[in-house]
Amino acid sequence: MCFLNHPLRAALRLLVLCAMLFAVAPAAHAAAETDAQSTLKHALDEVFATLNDPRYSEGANREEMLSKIENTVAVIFDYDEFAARTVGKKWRSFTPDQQTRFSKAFADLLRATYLERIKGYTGNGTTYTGQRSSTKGDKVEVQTLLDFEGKTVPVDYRMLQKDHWVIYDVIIEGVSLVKNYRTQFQELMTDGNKDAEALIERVQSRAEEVRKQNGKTE
Amino acid sequence: MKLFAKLLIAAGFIALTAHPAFADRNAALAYSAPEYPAGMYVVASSAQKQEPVYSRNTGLKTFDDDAEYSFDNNYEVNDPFEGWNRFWFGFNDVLYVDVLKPLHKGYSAVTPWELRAGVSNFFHNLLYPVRFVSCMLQGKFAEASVESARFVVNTTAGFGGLMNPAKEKKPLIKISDDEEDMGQTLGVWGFGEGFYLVWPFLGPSSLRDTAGLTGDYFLNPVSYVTPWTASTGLKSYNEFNSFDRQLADYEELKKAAVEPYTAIRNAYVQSRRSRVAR
Repeated sequence: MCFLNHPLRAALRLLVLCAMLFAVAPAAHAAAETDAQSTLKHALDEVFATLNDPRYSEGANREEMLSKIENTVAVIFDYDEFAARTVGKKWRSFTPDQQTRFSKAFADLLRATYLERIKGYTGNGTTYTGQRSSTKGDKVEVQTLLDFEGKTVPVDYRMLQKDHWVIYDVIIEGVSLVKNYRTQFQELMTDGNKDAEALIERVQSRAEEVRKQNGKTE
Repeated sequence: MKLFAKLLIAAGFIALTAHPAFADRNAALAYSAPEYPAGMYVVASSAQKQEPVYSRNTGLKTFDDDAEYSFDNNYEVNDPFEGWNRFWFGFNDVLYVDVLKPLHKGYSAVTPWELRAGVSNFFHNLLYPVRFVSCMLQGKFAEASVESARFVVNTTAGFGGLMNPAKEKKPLIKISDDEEDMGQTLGVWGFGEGFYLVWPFLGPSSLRDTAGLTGDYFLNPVSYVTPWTASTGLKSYNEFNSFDRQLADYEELKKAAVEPYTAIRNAYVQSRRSRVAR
């Protein structure tokens, strides 16, 4: 048993411990930081891969392409969180059923407008320029530049961690979508005291209008 | 051998205590979370996924999410002349979509894109004094020098500014990617927006940015063309020439909106604030 207490053996154990520490600790530092970004990167890469897939070139299999992108986006984009944040204070006065219907209608509107916009995308995709963390440390902002129609557009993704990292706000050229919609919904809800139902209806009909508009331009 | 072990223990201890400093090159920013002992990562390695992304650990800059999205946070702007503004908003909407859009379509059909790009580049290059003076007045000397360099390159190698060869060259100095104007300069100096204003033809603005536009007017060489009709004509032609880009942005914003007037007002204010901050 004196073998175990041998000083060399103890030193060796310490050495191994130190090595482990240095191997693990920097990884832990980097892990949380890259988790958000790598989750985002993975999803965006998938979207761009789908957009550039020759199978879908020149409008072929368009429905399939769109649903494929929709699925990818649905995983990383937290429509519920987004909806709750845009409605704001009054969100808690919505019944669970109203909350579901609202976030569904809102997701519909977002899909109708933004998927339409990237449909014919031909660009160099996204470059990642930096990250920020929230002061509480529970959220990450991934800053990117999107090559869009010959311009370089700064797009920041605000992300938080649920069972994986999800997007809860997108900031395009300094304009936060959540804040932008929030001011609109506030305006709608203070105007003549419209309630949840009226708001849901308004968002639904708007999504419908946009869809019709999309159909017309094709 | 005993000495060797002691030395190793000492080294390990020093490394352990010094370790957080390695990751913390940036000055610690204000945050209220408990500090983790450096060795905790080893102990808590299985729970790593839930670990928050503290700026102290990662060296990242921070944003205060709670304050930013708080409902007391004022990211709206005073709009005392809402009636007036809504009127001109409606007027501009018809002007942009029903008048200028078809006109510009016709214009695009009869002119080669090279001409349109050349005109746009030429006027942009000519507006160099606006950008340069605004950069200087905001203390952005690096950006001012980049603007100057671009002006020199585009005026010479770009045939008097008709082409934009400087666009391909990324500046070595890190500068903000927005272009400065006098409205932003006033913002940097601490002037608030005042209130929101919609101008016929020009679109969304604010009291401060309107004052800024006056400054831009005097810094724009085209303003000194005589007679004034020629000067105004040239400016209008430049605006019309690159109208399609602004229209695309406007139409997309309007399309995504549930309440277009509020949406565009808020987008204008947010975008100007972020440009002042950059």
